[in-house]
Amino acid sequence: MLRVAVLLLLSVLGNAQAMMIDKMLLVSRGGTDYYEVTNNTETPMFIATKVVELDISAKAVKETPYTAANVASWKINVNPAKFVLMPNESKIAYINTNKCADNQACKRDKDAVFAVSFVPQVYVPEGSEAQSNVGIMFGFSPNFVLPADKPDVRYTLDVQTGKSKDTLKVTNNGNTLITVIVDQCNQVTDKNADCDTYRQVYNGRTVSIELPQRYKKGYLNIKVVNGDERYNKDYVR
Amino acid sequence: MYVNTVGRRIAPVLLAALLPALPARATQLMFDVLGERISYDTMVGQPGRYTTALWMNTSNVHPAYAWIPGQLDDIGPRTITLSSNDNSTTFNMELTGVVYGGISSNLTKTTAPSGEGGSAAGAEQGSSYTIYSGAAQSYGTEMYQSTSTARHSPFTIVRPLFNLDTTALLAALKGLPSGTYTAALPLSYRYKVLYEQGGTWSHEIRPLVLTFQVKYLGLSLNEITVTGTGEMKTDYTEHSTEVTGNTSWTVSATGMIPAGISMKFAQPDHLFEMKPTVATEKSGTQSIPYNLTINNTDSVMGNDDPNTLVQNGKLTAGADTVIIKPASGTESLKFELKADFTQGYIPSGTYTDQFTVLFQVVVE
Repeated sequence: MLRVAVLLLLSVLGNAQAMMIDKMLLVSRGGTDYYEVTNNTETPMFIATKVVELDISAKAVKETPYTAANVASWKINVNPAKFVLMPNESKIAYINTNKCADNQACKRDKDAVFAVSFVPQVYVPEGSEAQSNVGIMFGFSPNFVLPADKPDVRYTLDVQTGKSKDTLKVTNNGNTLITVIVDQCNQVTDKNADCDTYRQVYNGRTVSIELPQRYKKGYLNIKVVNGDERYNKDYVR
Repeated sequence: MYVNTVGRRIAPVLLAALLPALPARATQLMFDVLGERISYDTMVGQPGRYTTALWMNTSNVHPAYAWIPGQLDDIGPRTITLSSNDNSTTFNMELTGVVYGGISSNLTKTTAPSGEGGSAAGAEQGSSYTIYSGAAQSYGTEMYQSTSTARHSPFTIVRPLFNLDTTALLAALKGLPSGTYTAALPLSYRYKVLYEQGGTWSHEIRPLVLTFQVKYLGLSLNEITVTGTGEMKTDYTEHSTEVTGNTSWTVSATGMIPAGISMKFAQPDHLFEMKPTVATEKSGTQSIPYNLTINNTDSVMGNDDPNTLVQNGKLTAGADTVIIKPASGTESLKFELKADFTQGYIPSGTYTDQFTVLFQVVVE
């Protein structure tokens, strides 16, 4: 005879289970760099941070987690590294850039890229009843970029004709992140038109951007900017 | 929480044209907001304040013997509502004064006559004069007077003076769909005028409209919302030979996300099995392995990533990190994350499991 449980609980965290973060890509401005993290659930959260340095030079991104074993080579750290977020509370997590030997700024001939993870766990305040029925917790892992000391913005833009759609092949030959924006919106009157898009292209990488539907041969409006937007160039083709 | 609607660009609209009751010209403030950076090629900084780069041509400003610059009729903080399609946001600005330009070189600046001038402070810069303080509807301490008996055009162009917190403007836009956001702020200003030497001073009120156009390209993932209780209720298969259970979460992402989002298991070696919260004699340590699948309701998987993330408690090959892209366009995606199991004998009890997924940036 089969005996069954009447009720199985995988999770009862309520309807909004995700924490929130204010940005998913942060390019250091050399001053105060931070992420703002918000708990918009009804449950207190304990947030643990983790840093992974990304080597993007090869097609497959190589990850180097920051651990106690390699603390001497950490280029950044998060402050605070762990914190509690009460319901509807926001906190700032600062990204500090570490110094190299002799307290000097580290030299960078190309961008250093990191994934900074904010990993939520349920926080049980002292004295309250433990909640054991917790399921999926949703966290965020935004990227953080320390720009090259001397940004060298070099790239190629190549429109390639496809059977169904044309693409813009962007090859970043420089040493720093670029953002490529395709904006065809002044070519359309339909307010619902698919008319703009963008991509962030890391140094040494190639990205093919599917051109908006309203791309017409003979006209292409492209903007290319670097991390701090000191390089800002428009192309109309 | 941001409004979960998707907007698109609309052609720039000069709302001044929608205000036919005002015989005014408009001066426009245009911003270009790219991600978290703002540029304004139609706004110029005055000491401690801003004005529009473009002047508004005046109308019905008649030649006079003398005139006294005056303040705006309403100054102080204003809340501006920027709108685009079905989306809107507000930000605050502060009106502080008015700048008169194109003042005739045949008029010279001197102290305004007692009883006619006011207390509004001003300053001359070339052929323009800025009223930068004083109460609303007040007049300046100085006047312009003809060097002869001839009448001359007092001024030909004007523009408002204001304070604006661009950081607050960026904050107001954050999370909104990309598009061109517009607003209009009807204003009026006043000045005193003496049309004929020896005549009587009178005052004139003239309207102007300050329009705003913000071209906003968000360049970001604005929000991910997750709905679903996670409560897994059981049922029986036909003939009651097995127990089934399922629950699901709906994940929605909005913003500019043409490359999609990446979802990663924070602990890829996790065993996806529910365990009894209290080990009883009946339940012992029995666990219930479950499946985890993505149902692309308004999205597609990227890079041929699998929809089945977990099969019978085990992580599917290549599923530790998967990419989910918008089904079309660039601005939103939605998918259902479903957990389910089918099991034979299960002792009564409460079973739980816990794991963490991380949403991360796609590095292409």
